[in-house]
Amino acid sequence: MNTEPVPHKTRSVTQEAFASFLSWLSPNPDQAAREYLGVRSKLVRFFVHKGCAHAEELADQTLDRAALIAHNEPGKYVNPLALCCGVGRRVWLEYLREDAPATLETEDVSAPPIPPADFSEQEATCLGSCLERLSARDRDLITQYHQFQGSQKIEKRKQLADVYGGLNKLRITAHRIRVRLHSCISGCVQQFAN
Amino acid sequence: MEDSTPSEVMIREYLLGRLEAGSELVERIDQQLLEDAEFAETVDIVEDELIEEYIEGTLSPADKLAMQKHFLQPPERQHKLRIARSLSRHFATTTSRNDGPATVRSLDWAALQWWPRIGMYGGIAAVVLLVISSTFLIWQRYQFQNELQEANQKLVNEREHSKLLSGQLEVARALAQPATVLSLLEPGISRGGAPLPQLTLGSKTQSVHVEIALPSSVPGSYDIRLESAEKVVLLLFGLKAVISPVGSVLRFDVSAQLFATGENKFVVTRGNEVEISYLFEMSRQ
Repeated sequence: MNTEPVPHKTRSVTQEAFASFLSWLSPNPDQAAREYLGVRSKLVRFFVHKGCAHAEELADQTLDRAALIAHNEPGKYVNPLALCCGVGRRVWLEYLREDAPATLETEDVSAPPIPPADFSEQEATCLGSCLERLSARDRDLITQYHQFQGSQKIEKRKQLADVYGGLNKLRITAHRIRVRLHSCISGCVQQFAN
Repeated sequence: MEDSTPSEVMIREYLLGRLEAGSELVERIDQQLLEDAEFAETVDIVEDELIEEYIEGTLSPADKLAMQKHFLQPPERQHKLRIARSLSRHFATTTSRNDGPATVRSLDWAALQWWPRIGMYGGIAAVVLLVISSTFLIWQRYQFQNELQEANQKLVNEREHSKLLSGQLEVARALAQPATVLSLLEPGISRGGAPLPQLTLGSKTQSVHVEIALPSSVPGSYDIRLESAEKVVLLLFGLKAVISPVGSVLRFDVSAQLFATGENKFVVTRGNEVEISYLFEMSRQ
């Protein structure tokens, strides 16, 4: 699978269709803008979950097409997200036909570049800083959650699950802390870059 | 009622790109991913766990291959892997720095629980110190003000006392100076010559002790006349001179009231000899 950025395709949607799509999302312009960004974010995540290397471009293609459809056939669709889902699946299938290999087991499929093992000094600083920003309880939980491997890890997580209301709740709690950490580290590194 | 939510095993297969693209299952997962936030979070959790297993090296070879060929294609996931790997190293380092898991937990908890308390106790101690030092300073200032007030009062008293003493001293001076000495050494000095000897009398001066140096050492009696303001105000007869190797001196006392301001003179005579005049100027304080 090609990991090089795909050339950004010219936006096919007209200004009129785009405005029509926004007003379909919400009659309030500010709310419409927020809705639009929310749908776009979900679509990006959707394409990432499907293993697409150019999730953002595919999300934009999906939105453009959905806007044209909604503009050309007003009243036919009730739920913008459902329309985007259908259009997104079509875009993904086209993407597979154009860029993806037939099967994953094929040996000639190129692997993406593995991210460098070492964290930069800035990233390490950001990591430490973001861990400090967590509450004591969250920091303790995430530290214990990731401290061990193998059987020790299983045992520790069982203990933590007893404390945190069950294994599933523990997984969700740890995941939410990780999301905050990732977001904090990314923002911090971005600030360093600027 | 059948649960339509795909299992985590299916989600895992979906994420590894091993489900049929056009299948109903994939379509259902796609739809739920967009429309069901809770399901999307579950997918994210399974995604995190795949990354964790990849880092730990516990994936099967087939899963590892699928990770590399499909799962890690999006840069977003590569970034996630990078952060997860660094977190894993960080936590592993945290563990190795301590004696063991139990110690780690107890130490971490202790530190996490005590730091805010230490801060709180420190704050209380700082406040107490501040109150004590403020009280001490206020007390010191109060003491200082009292002392200052006392010192000012003493100063006022001293000034009054000093004023009183000055008055007394003035009186004492006046009283202690009942007599003034007038030494007249050179006879015959007249107006227009050298400055005349000065006699200054105080307001309380009662008498003047006069000493007149005579040019001869011949013993005998002398007559003395005091002329003041062109008038003879005093006549003294038969005064004996005190004889010394270098000459003789006449000593006598005169009432201060007899002197007039301005030029005065003593005229000294002995028998039929020539009169000798001793001029001086008198002034009053």
